[in-house]
Amino acid sequence: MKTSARPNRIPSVSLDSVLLPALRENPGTGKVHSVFDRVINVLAPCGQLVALAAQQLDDAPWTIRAEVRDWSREDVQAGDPVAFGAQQIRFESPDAPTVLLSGAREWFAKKVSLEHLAAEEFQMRGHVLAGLLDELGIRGGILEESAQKESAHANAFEEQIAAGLRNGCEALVAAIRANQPDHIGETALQLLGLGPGLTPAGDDFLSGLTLLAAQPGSRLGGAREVISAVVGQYSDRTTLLSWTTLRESLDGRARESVLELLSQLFRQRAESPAELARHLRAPVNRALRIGHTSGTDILSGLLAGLRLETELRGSM
Amino acid sequence: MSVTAVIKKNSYFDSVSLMSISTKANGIDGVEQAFVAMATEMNKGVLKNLGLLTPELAEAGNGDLMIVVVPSGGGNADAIVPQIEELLTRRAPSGGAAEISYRTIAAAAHADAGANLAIIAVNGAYAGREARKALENGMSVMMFSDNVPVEEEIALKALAHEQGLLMMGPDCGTAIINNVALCFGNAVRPGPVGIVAASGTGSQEVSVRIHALGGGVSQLIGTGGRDLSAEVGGVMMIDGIRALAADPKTEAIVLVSKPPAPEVEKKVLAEIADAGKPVVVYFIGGSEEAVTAAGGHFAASSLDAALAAVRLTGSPSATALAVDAARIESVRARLSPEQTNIRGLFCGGTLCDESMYALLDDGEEVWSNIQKNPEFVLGAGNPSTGHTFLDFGDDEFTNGRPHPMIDPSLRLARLVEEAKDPSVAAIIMDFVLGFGAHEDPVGVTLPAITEAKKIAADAGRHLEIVAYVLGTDLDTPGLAAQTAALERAGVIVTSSSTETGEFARALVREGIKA
Repeated sequence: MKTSARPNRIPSVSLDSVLLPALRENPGTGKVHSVFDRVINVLAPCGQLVALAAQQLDDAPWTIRAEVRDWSREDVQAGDPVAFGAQQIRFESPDAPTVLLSGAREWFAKKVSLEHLAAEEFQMRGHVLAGLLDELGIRGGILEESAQKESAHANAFEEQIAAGLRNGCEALVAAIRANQPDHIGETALQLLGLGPGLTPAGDDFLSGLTLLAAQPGSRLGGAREVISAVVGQYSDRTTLLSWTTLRESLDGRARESVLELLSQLFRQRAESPAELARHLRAPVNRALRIGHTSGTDILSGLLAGLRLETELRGSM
Repeated sequence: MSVTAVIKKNSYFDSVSLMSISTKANGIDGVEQAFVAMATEMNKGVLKNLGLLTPELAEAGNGDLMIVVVPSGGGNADAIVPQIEELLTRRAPSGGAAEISYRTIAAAAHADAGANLAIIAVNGAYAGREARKALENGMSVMMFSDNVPVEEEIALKALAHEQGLLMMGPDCGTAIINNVALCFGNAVRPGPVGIVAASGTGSQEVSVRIHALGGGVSQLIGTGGRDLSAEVGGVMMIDGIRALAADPKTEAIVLVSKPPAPEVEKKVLAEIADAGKPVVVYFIGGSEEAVTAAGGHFAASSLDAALAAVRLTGSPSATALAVDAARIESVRARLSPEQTNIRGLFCGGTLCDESMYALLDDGEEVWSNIQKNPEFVLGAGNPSTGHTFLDFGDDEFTNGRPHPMIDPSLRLARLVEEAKDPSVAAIIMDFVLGFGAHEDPVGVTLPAITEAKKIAADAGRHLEIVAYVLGTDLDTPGLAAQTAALERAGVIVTSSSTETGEFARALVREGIKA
C-alpha cells in the first residue's frame, strides 16, 4: 500500500511585486481569514488580505501562487496564526505548511494607455465586447436572466437583487454621463455590497468600470476619484475580499486574466471588428471563468466604461 | 410571513458552492423559498424590503453568511434547520493513506514507471500544456476538458500518433480501458466488442445495449467530439481502429459518431479493410452504400450497432426492435385534438440526435439547439415551438454550470414550462446512469414530473411523459430501480435510445390524434 508523503515546505511560482517590500517592512503574526479549495486568504500583520493561490490560478494583486494543485489536503483553518517574513509565510498549526517565497517570479500589473484613442475606436471595441458578453456571459448577476428562465426560477430575493443591480448600474452610468459627483457617490454606494456572493455583483461591476477608469488617459478619472472616496469611506459595506479587490481595481490592478483582456482589447487600432472578436474570444472566456458570474459582472462594468469613454470623447 | 434564518459567522464559500447550497436549500421538503447571501448592508436592505429581516439577521455582519428560509404552509422550521446546517458542512478532504498525490504529471511519471494513462480535467486554457507533458512522459491521455483550441488538439494528436499513444479528447467524457470505466462510463460486462466513438452518450448507449443483449466490451476509446471534423481529420478514430485491430481481446469493432465531415468519413472508412476484424459503423445520418462498399457493416441506429456487434461476436441471440403498437394507440386515445407536438428534453447529445433524426427522416419539422439546418435552430433562451428537441448538455446550456447529467436544474424548470403548453402531447426525456453521473437522476426529476402532469391535468389534458434510462444492472443506482420509480410515476419507459426515437416517430407518423 502506498502512503502519502507530503512535503511541508511549498515553493512559490510567482507573487505580486508589491508584496515583497510590504512583507519585508511588516514582519509578524497574522491569521488565516478564509480557506477554499484553491485559495487560502491570510490577514497580514499590516491588515492587508493576502491570497495564497494554487498554481493554476492566475496572478493577481496581493497574491502568491504556490506549487500546489489545491489546499484541500492541508490542515489549515480560519483563525489559525500565520507567521509572515520576507522569505516565507508559515502556518503555525501542527502539520501545516510553510510557503517559501524566494525564487518566485515577481508579477507586475500592466496598464494600457487610452490617451490617443478616438471615440470611434472605443465604440468599435465596446460593440465587439458587448457581442461576446451577450454570447458567452453568465446570466444571473449584472447580465439578466432571460424572461423565461427568470419566471422558471421566481425567487423574491433574487428578483429584488436583480432590480437593484439594474437600477443601480443605470443610475451610476447616468450620473457619470451628467458629471454629477454627488450622484456618482450615491449610486456607487447603492451598488456596494449588492449581490449574494463573496464578491457581490455590484462590486464586480464597479471593479470593471473603475479598472478602465484607472488606465492612463481615461476620461473617467473624475468618476474614479469619487468612487474611490466612497469605497474608502464605506469599507464596512461589503466583504473584505471584495473590498480589497475593488480598491485594487481603483488603482488599475486586477487579476491577470482581466488585464490580459484589457491589453488584447486595445492591442491594434487597425483591426476590423471581426478580427478583434476572434482575438478576444479566448481572453474573454478566460475572464468569464472568474467566480460564477463575477467575470461577467466585471466585464459588464468594463463595457459600461467603454461606452462612457465613447460618449465623453465627443460626437463622431 | 414566517422566516427561518441560519447565520454562519465569518463563513466564506466560493460562489459556485453558494449556488449549490441555494439550489439544495430550495429543494428541501417544506421550503417555499430559500435565499443564501453574504450579510452585507445592501443584501439585508433587500430582505427588509421583503419583510424578511429578523433582528438576528439585522445583527449579522458583512463577513457572515445568511441562509434565509420561508417555509411552506406545512413546513416545519425545526426540521428544516438541521438540513440547512448539513448543507453548510464543509466536505472533508478526500483521499486517505492509500492515496498518493503528485503535484505534477512529471512527478507522477517519475514515481510510478507503470503509469500509462493521464486523465486531464483542468481548465481548457491549461489542458493542452498538461496533455503534452503526459504524452512526453509516455502516457496516453483522456482529456475531459473542453474549450481547447482546435490547433492544440491537432498538435497533441499528431504527437500522440508519433509516439504510438492515445489522445482521447479534448471534450472526451467516456472511455472504458481494460474494463475500467472512466469519467461518464457505465459498468458493463467485459467482452469481445471494441468501440471507438466521437460521441460520449452515443458510446455509452452502444455499450449498455451490448451489455443488455448479453455481449460485452473489450475497450471503449473516446476520441472527443471534434475528431471527425475536417480540421482534425479523424486522427484519433483511425488510431483507435488500429489499436483495436491489434488488441487480442477485441473481435469486432464499432465506430460511433455524429455526422462526420464527408472527406474524413471517407478516410475513416478506408481503414476498415485493413482492420482484419468486422467493423460496424454507426454514423448518424451516414450512408449505407459507402459503409458497405468499404467492407463495413452499416448500422442505422445505436441499437442496430449493438445488435450487429453482438451477432458478429457470437454472443447470445438478439432480436430487432418492434415498437409496441398497442402502447402507441393507448397514448393517442388519451390526447385531445390540439395536442400535436412532441418536446424532447435530453442530457445526452447523441440520444437527442437519434430521436430528432427519427422525426426528421419522416420529413417532420423539428426545432433544436443542435439542429444542422440553420432555419430550425432554437437558442437555449427561446421558447419551444412545434416539435422541439433540446440537448441540455450542449455548450449554450452548460456555460457556467455543470453538465445536466450532474446538475438537472435547468431541465427540471423546462419540463414544468413545457407542460403549460396545450399543444404538447408528449415530453421525451433521457436519464443517464453510470460513474460520474447524478447519484439519483430519476429521483431528482420525479417532483417535476408530478408537477408537469398536474399542470396538464388541471387544464383538462393528459400529458404523456416518455423516458429512457441509459444504464445497466451493474450501475449504481441500477437500471431496474430507476425504471420502476419512473413507471410508478406513470411514465412510459422505453428500452433503448433507438426505441425512444421510434416511439416518437410512431406517435407523430399518423398524426398524434387521429
